[in-house]
Amino acid sequence: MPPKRQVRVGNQWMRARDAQRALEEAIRVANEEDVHGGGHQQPFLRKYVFSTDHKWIGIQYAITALCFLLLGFSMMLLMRYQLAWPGQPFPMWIARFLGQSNAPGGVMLPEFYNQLGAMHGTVMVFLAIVPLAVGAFGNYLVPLQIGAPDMAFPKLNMMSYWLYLPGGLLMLLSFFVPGGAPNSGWTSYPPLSVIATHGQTVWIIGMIFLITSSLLGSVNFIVTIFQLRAKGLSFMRLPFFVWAQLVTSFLLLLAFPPLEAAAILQLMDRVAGTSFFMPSGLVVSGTPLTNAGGGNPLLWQHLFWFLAHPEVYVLILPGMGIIAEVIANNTRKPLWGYKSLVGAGIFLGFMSFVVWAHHMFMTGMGTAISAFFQTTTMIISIPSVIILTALIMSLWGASIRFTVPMLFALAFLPMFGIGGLTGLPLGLAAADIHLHDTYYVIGHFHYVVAPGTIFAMFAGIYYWFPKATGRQMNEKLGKLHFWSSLIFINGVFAPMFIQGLAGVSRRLYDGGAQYIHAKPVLHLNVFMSISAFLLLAAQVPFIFNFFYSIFKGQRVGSNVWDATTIEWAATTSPPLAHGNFDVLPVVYRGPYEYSVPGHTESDFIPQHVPDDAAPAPTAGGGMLAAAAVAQREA
Amino acid sequence: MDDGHTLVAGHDAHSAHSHEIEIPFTVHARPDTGLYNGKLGIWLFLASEVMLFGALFSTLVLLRTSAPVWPHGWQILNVPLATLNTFVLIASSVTVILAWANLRLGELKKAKIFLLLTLLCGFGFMIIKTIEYTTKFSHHQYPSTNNFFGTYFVLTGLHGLHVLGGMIVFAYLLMTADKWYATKRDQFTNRVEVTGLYWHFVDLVWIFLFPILYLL
Amino acid sequence: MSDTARHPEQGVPDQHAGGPPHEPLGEQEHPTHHHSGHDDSPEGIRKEVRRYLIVFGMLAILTIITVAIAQLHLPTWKAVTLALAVATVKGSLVAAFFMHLVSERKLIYGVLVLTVFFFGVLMWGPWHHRADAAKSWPGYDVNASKPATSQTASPEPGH
Repeated sequence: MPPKRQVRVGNQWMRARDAQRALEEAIRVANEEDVHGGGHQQPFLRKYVFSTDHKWIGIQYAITALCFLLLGFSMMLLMRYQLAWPGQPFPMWIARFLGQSNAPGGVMLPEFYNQLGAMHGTVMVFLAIVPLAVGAFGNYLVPLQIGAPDMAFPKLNMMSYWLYLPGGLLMLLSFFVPGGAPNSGWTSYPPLSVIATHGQTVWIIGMIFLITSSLLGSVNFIVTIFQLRAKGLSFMRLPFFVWAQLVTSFLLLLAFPPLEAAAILQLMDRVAGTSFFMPSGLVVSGTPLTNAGGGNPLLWQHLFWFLAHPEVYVLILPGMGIIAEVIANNTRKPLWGYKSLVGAGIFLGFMSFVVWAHHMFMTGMGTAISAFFQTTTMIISIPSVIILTALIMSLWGASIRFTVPMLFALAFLPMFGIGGLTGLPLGLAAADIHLHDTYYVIGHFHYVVAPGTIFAMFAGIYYWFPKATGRQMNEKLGKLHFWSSLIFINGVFAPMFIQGLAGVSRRLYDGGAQYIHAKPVLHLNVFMSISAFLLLAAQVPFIFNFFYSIFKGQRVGSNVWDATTIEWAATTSPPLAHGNFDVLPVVYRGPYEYSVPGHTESDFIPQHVPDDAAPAPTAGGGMLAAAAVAQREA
Repeated sequence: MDDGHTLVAGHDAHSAHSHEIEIPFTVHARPDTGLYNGKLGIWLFLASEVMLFGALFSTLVLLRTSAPVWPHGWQILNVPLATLNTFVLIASSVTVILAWANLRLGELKKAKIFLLLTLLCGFGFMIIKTIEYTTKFSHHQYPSTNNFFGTYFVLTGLHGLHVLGGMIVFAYLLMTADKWYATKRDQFTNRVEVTGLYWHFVDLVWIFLFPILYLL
Repeated sequence: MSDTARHPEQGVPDQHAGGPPHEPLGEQEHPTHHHSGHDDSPEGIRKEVRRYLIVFGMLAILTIITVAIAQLHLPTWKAVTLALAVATVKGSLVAAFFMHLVSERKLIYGVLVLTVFFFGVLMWGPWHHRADAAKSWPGYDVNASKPATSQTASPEPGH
């Protein structure tokens, strides 16, 4: 008879807590030997800089992307200061940092405002959110969730990161070229962008780096998901997060190339004097242009938005994937409507290619084509609603664990709802006449991306931090971060709808102060800017928590959330450095087998555990418990 | 069975791992998809290339159909040279697939000859292209002259860059053929197949570019 | 509820519905079958080579045909249609035989069908925008870009 409440480790009986420590020690030793064993110690550069390990590449992406996120955020703060107090000088230390060429006497120049606007958008979309959502979360988790030892093409993966980083740095360097950073909006519409200052050329070259990085990455993701799924892991057993990454990768694969082509054309227009986008007869500052003419500015808009619309679904889909995982785990129930989620995701991806001209309703489009794009835009709201509904219905009857990731996930639902609903009037050509290029648009898309996607990113960070580090982030700080962020982010973006409906245009250096119709809503600028500064303050506990917990966070076991998916249940925290798993897992069931009727030993069954060896519950020790049970039964 | 390492699912601390992680289905096809990784990868890449050239074709269509005046290709461009180039590229498609066939037959020497022929055809294509371009430049015909030349140079230029890229890969395959064939024969054969697929695509683009630019 | 919760599993992985073709998974080593649909015997390969050479011949002939048609200087739409038709046949030959699409897997076909559809959308969009605008708004053409006439459009054949 085994001693009561003890498990066998090797040839010893010991208490569960001691067993857990013994296990972790064994893992640490194994990982050490894994790295240094057999004389195959990798040089530092190869292991940490030019790594081909998807986990480390994911971390590289995460850290780089989070830095860009903070940078993009700072650019917005500078803009919001100017919007709230137009023409007022910055505090001394900021003014000195900005320099006389950007803010003489501490007062922001309109040209610099334009640079900040274009760079804020570019940095946030291309350097922060997508690299975080796809490069970081996707890279780290997809091979783990499908039971693969790495991505299909590890070297290509490394190249993706090493195209992203130089591209991003090049973009930032544009602030220092004569004329400053690109200033024609993140949308870079010609003819303005063609005659703009040098920074625009830097933008184009940076984009070529980033697009190439993205293309290599998307090929990698799709091949990995199709080819490296574990035995037994059919498509309808994939975690929704993997489905989301798969659809996202197809969007990136097929939608980016037209922008790459357009970027080449714009580059030629700028440096080789071609006229792809330059109509005849242009006069700039009294001087007629000397190029041949005959080009079409709308051509750029078509090629740009052909990418940029699918791009917004690239921004949201991985976030939805993360939310789905967090909700399933913290409701202890399978997701409601898994098949609908998958179908809606695929349909959404497909439709995203045929709605782009709803960004062009005000370009003099004909009636037939307007009607076409309005129709497709209305149709595309359906899969979004299906996904949101499925996620909300997943809460029904659940015993919710209000962990920090779950708080962010719950907030995502209404925030994305607001973002999505406010998109509807924009998709109707008639309503768009009034709302196009106003603050309403800015409010709409920020609701989707900021309290939408970024909250999903936070949920993901709090959720998977223990997997990547073996430690948990502090819960109190997390809750403080959550509540303050939620309040202040709404403070920043909700008034934008009001300003937009009043007719305040976007990209105005003075926030509308010169327009009579803006006067009644001008005071909201101050409210929004103060909210933005408070939002910055709200991130401090998060940043502190993140770094502190890496070193001093509470150590937890390999499956702290008692999750069913392979990355949690079938490998250590952090996962084994070399190949993720000792033995590639085999999958026997779907991804969300929580609270399975008839299974009383625990409220979850991991995907990779055969029927007859389902684990008993232990605090955060799924894998340990499985082994313990096996030992007990042996 | 006595050390604590057994809990870690049989991890043997003493086996020497090389740092090359073995990725399944790199060489042999996965049964349910019927593909090896590289083949799926190259087709996906080619799909993205279809969209890349598609954007440029779309540009050409828009600019040409909206222009009151647009010259015929045969009025300005060198049709005989371009026809020769078409033959050169088609021939190179044949040589590369013969290279792959010979690898599967185990005939390394013949395969290398066909790879070399492919590379030489690529050179031939680029030389003819250079003659075309320099002739245009000497007549002061540049991309900036008008959109006929703009689209001509961008389309053929991007295509030419793709030819160059392919040639670089073929040169690499030729240089490393002996070593790879000796140690990783199947993987090498796959690499030639995959590069061949890319090369056929480059040929395919030219098959459309040639009539659209030169003959219409 | 999860769709797999209802299937009795006896350790046989249930792989199905909505994914790739139903074939048992596993790293089976079939040295002669690593190319989809290809017969890797020497006989089979030599037959393939013969096929490639025939396709080469057809491509050469079609090239001559398309150049010959171009000499006729047909009216625009006829010329465009014929040129694209011949190019499509040539392209299909390359795709079907050189790129082995005739014997390729469903997954590849799927990716290509999707791509061709979006390619079509991309070709249609900008052109139709302009065509529809010109139809809907009288005078739109006047405001549209006026290209410089090509001074270099001399009637000298080929240069």
